[in-house]
Amino acid sequence: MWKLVRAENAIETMVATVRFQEPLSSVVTKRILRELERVTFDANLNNRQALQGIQFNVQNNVTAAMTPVALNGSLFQKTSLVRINNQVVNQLVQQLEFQPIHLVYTTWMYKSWKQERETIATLFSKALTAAVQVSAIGGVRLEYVDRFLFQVEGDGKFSAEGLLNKNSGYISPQIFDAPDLFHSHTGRFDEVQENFRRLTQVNVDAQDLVAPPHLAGHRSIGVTTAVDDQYYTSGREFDSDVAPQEILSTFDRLHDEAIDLFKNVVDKNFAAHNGLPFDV
Amino acid sequence: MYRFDAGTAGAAGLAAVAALTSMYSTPAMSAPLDVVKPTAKQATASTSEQPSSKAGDVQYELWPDASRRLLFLASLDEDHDGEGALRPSESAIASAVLFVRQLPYYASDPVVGVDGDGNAVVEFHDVDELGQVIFRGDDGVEAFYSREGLQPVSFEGKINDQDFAAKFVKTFGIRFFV
Repeated sequence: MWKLVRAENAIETMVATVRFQEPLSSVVTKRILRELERVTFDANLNNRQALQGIQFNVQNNVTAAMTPVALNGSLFQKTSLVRINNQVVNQLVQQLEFQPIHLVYTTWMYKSWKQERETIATLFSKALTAAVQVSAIGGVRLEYVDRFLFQVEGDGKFSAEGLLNKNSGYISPQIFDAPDLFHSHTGRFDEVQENFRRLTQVNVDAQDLVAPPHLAGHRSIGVTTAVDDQYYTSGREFDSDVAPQEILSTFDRLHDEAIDLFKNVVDKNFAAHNGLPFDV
Repeated sequence: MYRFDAGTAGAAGLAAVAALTSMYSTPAMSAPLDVVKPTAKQATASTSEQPSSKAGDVQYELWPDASRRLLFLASLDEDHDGEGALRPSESAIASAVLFVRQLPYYASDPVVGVDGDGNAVVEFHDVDELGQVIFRGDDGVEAFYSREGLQPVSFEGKINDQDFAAKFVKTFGIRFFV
């Protein structure tokens, strides 16, 4: 038997990304960071972090050392106190990441598209207005990760049957009789034009979770559905006056596409019984 | 009237500058009659472009010339402008120095000075915006911000006033003492 990872819906994370065709100059980057300080303060994403990465130093095919490196970017985060198993923990719930190559909003508390698009509009608008004056847009992507937790019942056999749609062309049929964990990843480009193509991705991962602590030990299936508009040769230029609205409209279209994908990969009866989107 | 040029300083002032300079561990200053650049752009272009690429590095200061300049201005005597200016307030200068030292790398290059009332002044100039912060000797602080297409805004408060800090970040896009 399967249950949703959250009481409200199955969405573990939603990630909205706008990529710039070229890295923004340091002058524009600084200006955008100042804009983001303004808007994130009002939106309560006021925990600011420098972005860090890890550099692997490889010599003679041997990894000699891992060095933390600072990346040219910032994270603006919002945490919230949530009750988990009678414990109150401070959990990351929203994050805005800005680097000269992209702007990324992630939420771990998705409630509705209406709310999220408002948040995206608030957080992205001024930054996009500034960015499109110096760079074309390279791509717009919307990604959802839905998670389902397996609860042992009856013979305790772990199977994707009853959760995922066996007839979906986006899922490999071999997973339905897999004796243990599995992965099914697929993606393809559609609507291919001279300067445009749309990438659609569906990744299904059966995993034994090790984190977060309250889910550790659970066997689960994560379904990543992503739709990615790519302006892949020279980028798409926007007028700065209309860029935020047009990019928001693009997110609306990607959201509709992502819902159609979700309906395609999740079993209709399961969706109907759990208040998830499905086609009648 | 704000003072952004080097001006002159007496022997007592020079001694005070030397003491302050040593206290803040900054390199030795040039002669007081040399023109000190009001912005640190040229001198610190490489450091103010972006933070250090090494995580964990402590980056002490992005605009050292600006704080050195403030420390120099602390040495000015009364009537340093010949128009009856008050002696710059030590606490106002100290607050301005701390403010400049904690500015993030994405702040506009700060321009620093003192006004005729002994207050320390930090200004930010960008293509279409002007920000001004005036530190008074009594821990009071005044802010003015103007940007093309927007109504100019001014507000004041105390250095440790949270309302002032909130207005400041929403207006200037940088935090007022992190």
